[in-house]
Amino acid sequence: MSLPLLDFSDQMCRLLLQAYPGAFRERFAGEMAQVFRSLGRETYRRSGSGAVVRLWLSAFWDLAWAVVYQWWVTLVRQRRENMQTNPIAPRDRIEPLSAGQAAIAALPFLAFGISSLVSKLGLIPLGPDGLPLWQVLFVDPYLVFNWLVLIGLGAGILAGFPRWAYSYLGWALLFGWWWSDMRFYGYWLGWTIWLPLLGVFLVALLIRRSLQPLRAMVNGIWHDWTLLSLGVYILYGHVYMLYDENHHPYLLAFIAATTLAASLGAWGYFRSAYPLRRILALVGGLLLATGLSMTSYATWDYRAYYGLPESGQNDLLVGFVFFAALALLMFGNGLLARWRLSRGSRLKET
Amino acid sequence: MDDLHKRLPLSPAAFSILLALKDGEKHGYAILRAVSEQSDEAVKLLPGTLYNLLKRMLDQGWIEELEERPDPALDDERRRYYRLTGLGETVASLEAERLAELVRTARKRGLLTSQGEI
Repeated sequence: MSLPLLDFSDQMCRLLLQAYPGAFRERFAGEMAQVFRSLGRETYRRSGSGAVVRLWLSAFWDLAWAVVYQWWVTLVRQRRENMQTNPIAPRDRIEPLSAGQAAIAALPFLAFGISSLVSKLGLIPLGPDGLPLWQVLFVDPYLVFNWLVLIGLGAGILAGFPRWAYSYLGWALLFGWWWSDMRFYGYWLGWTIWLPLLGVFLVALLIRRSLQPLRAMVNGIWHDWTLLSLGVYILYGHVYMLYDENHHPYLLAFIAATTLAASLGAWGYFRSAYPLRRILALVGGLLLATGLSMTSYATWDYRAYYGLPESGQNDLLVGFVFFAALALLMFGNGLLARWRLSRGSRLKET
Repeated sequence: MDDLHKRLPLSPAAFSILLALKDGEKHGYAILRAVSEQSDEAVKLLPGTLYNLLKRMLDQGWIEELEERPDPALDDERRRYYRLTGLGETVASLEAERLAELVRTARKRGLLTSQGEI
C-alpha cells in the first residue's frame, strides 16, 4: 500500500502545481514536486502511511492557499506595483511633443489661414492671366504657403522625421492633390505640381545619405493610426479656412477665428499622449471650425448673393450631420489606433 | 535602512528561513528540515508556503540562487540551492534586534522567568 500511496501523492502534487501561474510554475514547480516527494518519503519512513495522509490534509490547503496567493500577486499586486512605479505608462501612450514642437507642427495651419486672409484681402494684385509662371510661383499666397510647407518638410526629413513633420507632410500632400487639378492664372500644372515635393524628398535624403527618415515616417504611421485622422483633419481644416466663394461682411474675422480653432486642434493633437485624446483634440478643433463656418453661412445669404433659387435644404442640419459622421469616423480610427498600440506593446513585451 | 524597517516584522516562517540560510546555502528540502529543527518543530513549513516565501525573498534580493550545485555528482539535478545575501542578513539582524527588544520588555515586566542572556 505504501508505494502506491506515495506515487499517488506525487501525482496529486504535480496536478496541483499545474494550477500555479505559468511563470511561477516554470520556475519552481519541478523543485516543489521534488521537495514534496522527499517530504512524503521522509514522513512515511518515520511515521507510516497514516502520517502521509495527515501530511496531505495539511499540504492540500497549503498548496491551495499558495496558488491563490500567487495568482493574486500575478494579477493584482504586480499590476498595482507597475502602476505605482510607472503611473503614466499604459500601453497606448505615445510621448507627446513639447509645447514648442507642437507649435511647429501647428504652424502650417496658421500659415494656411494667413495665406487665405492675404488672398481674400487682395493685397497682392494678380491679374487673371499674363504673369510669368516664375512670378506666380513666388507671389501667390497659397503657393508661398506651399514653399513654406516644403521647407518645413525638408527640415523634418533632415531631422530624421520627428513627429511634427507629419503635419508638413499632410499639408504638402493635400496641396499637391488640390493644385494638380486646378488652373491658376492661366497655368495648369497637372502632375508637375508634385515635382517640388519629390525634389525635397530627394535632396533631403541625399544630404542625409540615409533612408532612415523614410523608414521613420512609415513606422510612425504604422505605429500611430491616428495620423490618418490628422490627414482628414488637414483636408477639412483647409476647406473651412478657405471660405471659398464666401463674401460675408465679416469674412476676415471668420477666417482668422477658424484658423485659430484649427491650429489649436492640431496643437492639442500633438500635445496629447493617448489616441482618444488626440482624436478629441481634432474633433474639438473641427467642431469649432464647423461651428464658425455654419455661423458664417447662417448670417450671410449666399443664395441671394449669387442669385440662386431658394432650396428646401436645411444647411445647418446638413453641416451638423456631416460633422457628426466625421467625428464618428475619427473616433473609430482612435479606437483602432488604441488597439494597435496596445497590441504592439504586448508583442514587444513577449 | 528605513525602507528595510518597513518590511518588519517578519512572519515566523520568513524569519526561520533567513535563520536557516545563515548557516550556509541550502536547497528547498534542507531549508524545510532546518526550519523544523531550529524551532524544535514549532514551525513546520510545507512546500506551498516555503516557495511563496522563497520567491518573495528572491524578488526582494534577500536571498539568491547559487549558479552551481555544491556537489552535482551526489545531488538531484532538479534541486536548486539558495543562500543569504548581505541585504537578507541585514533584514534578519533587524528582525532579531526587534525580537530581542520585545524579550527585554517582557523580562522587565516579569513575563520571562528563564535566565537566558538577551
